[in-house]
Amino acid sequence: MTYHCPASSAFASPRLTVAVACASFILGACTSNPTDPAGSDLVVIEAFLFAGEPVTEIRVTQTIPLSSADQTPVPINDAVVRLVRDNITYDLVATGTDGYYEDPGNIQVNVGDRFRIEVSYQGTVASGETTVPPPPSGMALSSGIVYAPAFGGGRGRQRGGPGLNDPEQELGVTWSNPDRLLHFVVVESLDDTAEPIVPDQIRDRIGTRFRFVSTPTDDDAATINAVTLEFLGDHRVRLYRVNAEYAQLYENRTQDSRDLNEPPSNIVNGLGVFSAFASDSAFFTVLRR
Amino acid sequence: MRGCTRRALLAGALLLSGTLAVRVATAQQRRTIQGVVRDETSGETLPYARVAVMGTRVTTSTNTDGYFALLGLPNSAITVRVTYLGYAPLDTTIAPAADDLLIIEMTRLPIELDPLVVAESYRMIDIADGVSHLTASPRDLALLPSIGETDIFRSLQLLPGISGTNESSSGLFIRGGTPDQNLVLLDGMTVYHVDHFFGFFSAFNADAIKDVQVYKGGYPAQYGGRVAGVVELTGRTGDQNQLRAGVAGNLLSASAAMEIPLGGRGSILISGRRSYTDIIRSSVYQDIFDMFTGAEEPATAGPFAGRGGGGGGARGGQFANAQFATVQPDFYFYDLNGKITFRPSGRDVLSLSVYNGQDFLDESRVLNRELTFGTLPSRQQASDLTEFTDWGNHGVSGKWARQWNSRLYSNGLVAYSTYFSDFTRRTSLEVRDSQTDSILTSRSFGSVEDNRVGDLTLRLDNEWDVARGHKIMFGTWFTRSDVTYTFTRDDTTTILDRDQEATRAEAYVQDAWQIAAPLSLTIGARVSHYDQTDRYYVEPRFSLVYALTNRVRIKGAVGKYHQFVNRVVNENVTEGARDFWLLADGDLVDVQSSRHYVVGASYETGGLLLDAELYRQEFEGLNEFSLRFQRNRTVEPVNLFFAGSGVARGLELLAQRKLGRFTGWLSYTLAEVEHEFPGLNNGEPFPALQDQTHELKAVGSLNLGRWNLSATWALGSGRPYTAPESEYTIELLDGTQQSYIHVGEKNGLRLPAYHRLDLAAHYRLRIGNVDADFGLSVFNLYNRRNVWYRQFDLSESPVLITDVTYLGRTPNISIRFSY
Repeated sequence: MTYHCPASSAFASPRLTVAVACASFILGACTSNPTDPAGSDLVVIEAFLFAGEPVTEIRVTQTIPLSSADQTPVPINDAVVRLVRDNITYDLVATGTDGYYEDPGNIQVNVGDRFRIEVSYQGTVASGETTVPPPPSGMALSSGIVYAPAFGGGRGRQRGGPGLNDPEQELGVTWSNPDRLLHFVVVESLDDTAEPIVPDQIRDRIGTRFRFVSTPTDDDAATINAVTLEFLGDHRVRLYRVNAEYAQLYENRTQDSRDLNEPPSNIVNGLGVFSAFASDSAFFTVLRR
Repeated sequence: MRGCTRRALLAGALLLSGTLAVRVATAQQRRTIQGVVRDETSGETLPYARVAVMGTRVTTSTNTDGYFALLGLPNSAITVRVTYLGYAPLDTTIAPAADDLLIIEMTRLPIELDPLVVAESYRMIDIADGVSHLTASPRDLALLPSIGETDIFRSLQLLPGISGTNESSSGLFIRGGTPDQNLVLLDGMTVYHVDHFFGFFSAFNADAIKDVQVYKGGYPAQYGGRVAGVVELTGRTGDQNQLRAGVAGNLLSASAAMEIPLGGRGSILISGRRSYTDIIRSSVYQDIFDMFTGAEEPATAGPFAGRGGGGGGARGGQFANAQFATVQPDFYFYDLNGKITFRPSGRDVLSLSVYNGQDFLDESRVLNRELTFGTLPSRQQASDLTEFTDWGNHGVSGKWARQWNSRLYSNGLVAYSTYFSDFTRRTSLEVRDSQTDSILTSRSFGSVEDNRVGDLTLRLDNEWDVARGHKIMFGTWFTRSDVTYTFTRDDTTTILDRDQEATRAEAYVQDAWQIAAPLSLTIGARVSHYDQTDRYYVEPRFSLVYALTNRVRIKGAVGKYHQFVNRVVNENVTEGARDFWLLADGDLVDVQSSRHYVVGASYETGGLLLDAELYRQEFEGLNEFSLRFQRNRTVEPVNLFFAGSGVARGLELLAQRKLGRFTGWLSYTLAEVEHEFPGLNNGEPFPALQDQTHELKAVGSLNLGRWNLSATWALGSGRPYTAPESEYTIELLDGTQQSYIHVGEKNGLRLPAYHRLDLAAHYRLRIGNVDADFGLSVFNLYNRRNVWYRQFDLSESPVLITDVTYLGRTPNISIRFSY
C-alpha cells in the first residue's frame, strides 16, 4: 500500500499554501491509493444503424473482469434503451436473453440523421451519438466471376500455395473516394446450401476457417482473393461508408503499464460503439475451374 | 495579471534608480576590493566561491571565472573569508591601501584527510545563500556509491526536491518537472539529452567538471528558456602549472585525462571515457542491459525504450513458433571533453570547450522461422533485421571574458550544440519453399525515426558592481535553433516529418540588491522574442532573503518562465516510447510556460543546516504525442498532439551535517504533480507519471583517514501507473469478435514503494607523486526488487500481470590513478 495526498485544493490560493501543506505534512492527512487493478462493471453498447434498414443491431452487455477465466460477455436484458432523433424518443425492447434490443415500431434511418442512444441500467445512463453517413458512390467490380483455388494433392495443386498470384482468383472492388473517406468491404455468400470451396475433409485437416476481413480504409479500391472465401456460388459485396468511431475499433491494441490508454469509444459513461452506416452492393459468382 | 506585472516592474525600476543615485554619490568615500580565487596548486580559478567580510554580513561570490568585487568597504584593514566546496576555508587580511587585483589561493583538502581535522568546507553540497539554489562538488560526490560510473546527476538525485528513485533516467525530475524542462549548460553549451546507457548514467564525465550549480526553482533572470530548473556545469580548465595525467577504470568503462600547462598562462584539459561493453560484457553490464531490454527473452523482446526513459518489454507468446538466432547486441558509449584556457592578461580569459558524447546500439539479427499450413508443404521464412540506434550530443563553445575594472565584468560566448537520436529498423523478409528452395516471397520494409536539434547561441553577459549593495547583471542572448524530426513507417507511411528553424532574441537585467545588512532582494526581468509566434515573452523574477538572525534566514522567490523547444512525450505503444524534440510553433506544439512560487526558511550553524522550502509551480503548454488513433488512416499531425497544463506543489526538508568525520544529510519531500489534458482522461486531472508523494533520502559519508565509507538510502512512495481493468467484446460487421481491454483511470494506480540502500568504500593513498583510489561499491545492497513498471500479458486469461523490476544487488569495483 502506498499513500498519496490528493489535490489539497486549497493550494490553489498561494496564501494558504503554507498552512495547508504544513497541516497535510504534520497530520499525515493522506488517502491510500490502490496498487492493483480492481476491475470495473460498466455497460458495453454495440449499436449499429443502417440507412434504410430496420433497427436490430443493438446489443448491451457488461464488462468482464480481467480476473475471470470466462470470457463470455454477460448480456443485459433489463436495461432501458432509447434512441433519440430530433428530440423524439424511440423506446427499444429486448428480443430475448442475449442482450439484443430492437425497434418495435418502424424507425426510418435516413442519410444525414443524427441519433443519440441512451442506455439506463442500475442507475447509470450510458449514451452516445452518431450521424448516418451518405452511401458510397461509384462502386464497381472488375468482374462478375471469380475462380476458386484448387486444393488437394492431385493435379490441381498449385505451386506457391492456393490462390497466390493468380489474377483469375482475384476480384477488384473500386469506388469513388476523392475525399479519402473511410470505407469497409464485407463479402457475403448468398446461397445457404452452396458447396464449400475447400472439401470438408481438407477443412477438417487444416482446422482453419477462411474468412475475408477488410479493415476500414480511406483508399478507393480493395482486392478480394478467392482464397479468403468459403463457398462457391453467388456472393454479395457490400461496401459500407463508415464513420470514424467504427474505424477506430480496428486499432491495434498492444498495452503495457507505462502506456495504457482507453480503447476508442464514443460512449459516454460506458464502453463500446454507436455508429451508423450506409452501403452499396454488387454481386459476383465463385466458380470452380 | 499582466498589468500587475508591469506596475511591479516600473516600481522596482524607479526604486532601483533612486537608490543607485544615492549609493553612487557616497561610494567615492569607501574602498573597493577586487580579486580572483583560484586553486593554490593548479592555478585553476574557482567559480561561485563564497567571499565574506569578517565581522559584517557583507558577502559576495566569485563569478564563473573566479573574479569577485566587494564595494563600499571601510578604508581600513579588513579580513575576508573565502569558502569553497572541497577546499579549506581561507581567511585573508587586506591592508588599507591595497587596491590591486587580489589573488586568493585556496588549498584543496588532502585526499588523506586527518580524522581530527574539522573541515568546514568538506560537505559535498552547499545550500547557497539564494533561494532553491545549491552548489555541488563533483570531487566529493565521486565518493558516494555508484553503479560503476561516478555520476554527478545521479548524486544530485539525492537532494530534496529532485527525484532519486528513477533508475531508468539520470535526468533530473526537479519539483515535478521533467528532465527536458531543465536548462543544462556545460561551459555555456546547451545540452539536450543527459543520458548514457539508456539513462542509467549521465553523459557527463565527472573528471572534466569543476563546479555544479543547481537551481530548483525561482531561478534568476540570467537564465532562461526552460520552465523547471537550471543545472550549470563548469568544466575544469586543467592545471596551468604542471603536467598532470590520470587513468581510471571499472567494470563498465575506462577513462583517462591529461592536463597540459601553457606557460603559466593557461592550460589544456583533455578527458575521455569509453565503455568496453562491446568488447567485454561484465556481469554489471549484462544486468543493466537485460533490465533495459527485457533480454531474458532473446532477440526481439522488444523494442528499446531507453533514450526517452520509456522502455520496451517482452511480448510473451507473440513468437511462440519462432526459432530465434541467438544474438548479442553490440553497445558502447563514449564521451570526450576538451578545453583550452588562455589568460593573455590578468583580466582576460579566452577558452574553447568541446564536448562529444554518443551511445551506439546495434541490435541487428537474423530470425529464422518455419511456417506450416496443415498438411501443406512447409516454408522457411528468413528475416534479416537491421536495427541501429544511436544518440548523443556534440558541442563546442568559445568565450572571451574580461574584468574591465573593479566593477565591470563581461563574458562573451559563442556556443553550438547538437543533439541527435537516430533509429533505423529494416527487415528483409524472404520465404522459400522447404522442398524446392525456390523463393516464394521477398520483400523489404523498415522504419526510420530521426531527431536532430541544433542550437547556435551568442551570449553577452555582464556583471556590474554599480554601487555598494547593488550588483547589476545584464545581457543578451541570441539563439538560432533548428530541429528535424522524421518518423517513417514501412518505408511509405510518413507519420511525422518536421523541419523547423526558429530564432530567439533575449535580454535580461537584474539587480542583486543588498537593501540592508539582513535583507537582500534580487529583482530582474527577462524578455524574449520568438519568431515562430512573433511574440514577446516577459518574465519578471523576484527573490528575497532576510536574515532574522545570524543563523536564521527566511526566503522566497517568484518568477515566470518560458520554454521554446520541447521534448514531446511519445505515446507510441508497440515500438516503445521514443520521445523527441520539436520547436514550439504555436500550432502543434505550444510554447510552454510556468510560474514558480517558493517560500522557505533555514537555520545554519557552523556544522548544521536545517532548510525547508515550500513551492508551487504552474505549467501551461505541456505536450503529449500519440499514434493510437491513426494506424490505418492518413496521418494528420494535428490529431497526434495533445496539449495540457499541470501544477506541482510540495514541501522540501533538509537536515545536513557539515562538520566532522561524518557528514551527510537527510532529506524529505512531500509533493504532488497533477496534469490536466482536455484530450486525455476525459478531461479530468490525473497524476503525472513523475508524481511521487513522499520521498525520504539519507546520505552519509564517514572519513577515516585513507578510508572513506559512504552510504545512501532512498525511500519513495509508488509512482502512478495505468492498468487495464476489464475486458469486453464487440461483434464487427463481418461477424468477427473484437476484444478490447478497458483501461482504468489514467495513472490511477500506484506501483509499490521504492527503496534502496547503496554502500561504497574508498581507500586512497599516495605513492610518490601518484594519487591512487581503490573503490568498492554495492548497489541495492539488500536486493530490493523495486518495480519499474507493470506488464500485462493480455493474451493470457486471466490476464497475467508481471512486475518488471529495476536492478538487483550489483557490486562494482573501481580504480583510479592520477599524477
